[in-house]
Amino acid sequence: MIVGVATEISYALGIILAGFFVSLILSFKI
Amino acid sequence: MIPRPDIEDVKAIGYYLGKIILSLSATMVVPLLLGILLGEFSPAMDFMVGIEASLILGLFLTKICFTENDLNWMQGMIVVSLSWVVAMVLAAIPLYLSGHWLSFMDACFDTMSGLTTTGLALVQDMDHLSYSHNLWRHLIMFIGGQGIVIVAVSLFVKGFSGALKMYVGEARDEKILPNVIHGSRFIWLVSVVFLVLGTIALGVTGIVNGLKPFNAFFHGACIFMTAFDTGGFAPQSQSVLYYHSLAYEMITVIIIVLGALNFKLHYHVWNGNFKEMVKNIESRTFFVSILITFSITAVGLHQTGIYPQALVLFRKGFYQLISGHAGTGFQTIYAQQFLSDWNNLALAGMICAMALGGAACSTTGAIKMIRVGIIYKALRQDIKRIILPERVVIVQKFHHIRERFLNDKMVRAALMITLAYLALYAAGAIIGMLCGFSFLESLFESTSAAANVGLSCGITQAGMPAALKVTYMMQMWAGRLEFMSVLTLAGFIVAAVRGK
Repeated sequence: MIVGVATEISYALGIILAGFFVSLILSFKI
Repeated sequence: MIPRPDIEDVKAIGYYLGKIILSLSATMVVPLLLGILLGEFSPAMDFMVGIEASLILGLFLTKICFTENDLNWMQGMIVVSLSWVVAMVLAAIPLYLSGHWLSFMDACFDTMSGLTTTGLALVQDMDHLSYSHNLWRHLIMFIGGQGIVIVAVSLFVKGFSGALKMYVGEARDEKILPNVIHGSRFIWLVSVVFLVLGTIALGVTGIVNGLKPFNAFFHGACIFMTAFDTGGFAPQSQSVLYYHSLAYEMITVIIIVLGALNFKLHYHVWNGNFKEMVKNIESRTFFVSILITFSITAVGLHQTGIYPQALVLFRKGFYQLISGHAGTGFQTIYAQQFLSDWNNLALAGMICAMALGGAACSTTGAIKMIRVGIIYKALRQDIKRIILPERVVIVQKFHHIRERFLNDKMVRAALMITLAYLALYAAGAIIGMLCGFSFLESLFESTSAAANVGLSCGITQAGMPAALKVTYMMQMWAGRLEFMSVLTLAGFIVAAVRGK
């Protein structure tokens, strides 16, 4: 169960990270 | 010829409806006890009245309609459909008595918004609402998110052999475990584990940010309940903006994403099938869909130049986007800023995200990821059919817990519901325009209501036309139950009037 919770939290963090990269790329005015 | 419903139909519907009402009255004890503990005796009396009204109606129905017959599919669907309407009225009683709602209809609007995990609110002076009333607002969202039937099944296990039919009626067509009662209990297990973890995380962050310990944990529990059930009510009128904390926003985003996942996926990941997280069609579609809709919104926001720094654009844009996509409705900007600060492209990205929603068998509303994934796979299959030679047999597969072959029946079902949602969004937008609002703001608010999101661009307020209030209430109800139960109720009424 604990590993399951950690896996799900990692997935959520992955989404957050991917969103941040999109913002970062845009800020470079590419 | 439509057969007219007989007395046995009415008795079975009344009996099971009565049981669900009794379980609703049991949940009102929680804010009642909190009110007594905190010395809020006047609010506690409001809940006493609510409990009494529910008990009288529930006991009356279970006595007068007593039957030992099981529910059939039609009856199950109607019980679900009616139980949401009856629960809306009964749950609104203590809210209306508080004096924070201008009319009983406004209180009903908020309870329907709560039960359907939408998050649109008409409450007045929310920042001075009593703790018990505030807890009730969040609790009804938790009850609605878990599913009123799930709550009833968990409380009244005996004699609930018709549970499956109601379970399906409540748009939880995927059985997590072969037994509905075990399925309901697993949903509670996941929710309680995350409730404890989420409340501690939010409570500690609240204390670090300067909230008093009681308030920090009270807000933590309330915010968790509405974040995990992708609802969107918050204890303060400024929503999550009130906390001005990046940590608080990050934690709520994680809770929102967890709440938007399929309970069946939770079950398999918790039982050691970790690869399912990456392989599942819903988690993949959700990931891609968030990135695409966020990119659209982010380019729109970039054009306006309102958030020049990457972190600020991410913090404001991504938060509203994920909150809208998962159907939550927490805001870290003021409602009017959607129209004053964001441009059309950014709003279009938001509307697309809200319209798509989270995973099936979760607490989110809207079209849902499994349907989007299936429609995408069907499109791929059709393109392959055109490109490849005619003699080639094209088999399209997708992974949802196990490998499945795509068939026309699945595609038809996915397209039917998708079309029904699009029609619902459009109908609400047209009524919004009839009431004098612009196309974009009408579509935004209508999508937000029908997809059970709760983000508002400013239309939803106590002074809005009554016709629009009723429209949004109907949209929230039909959107949450995914049409079938509501259409079955309409068919039942037609049969009762015109049947032979």
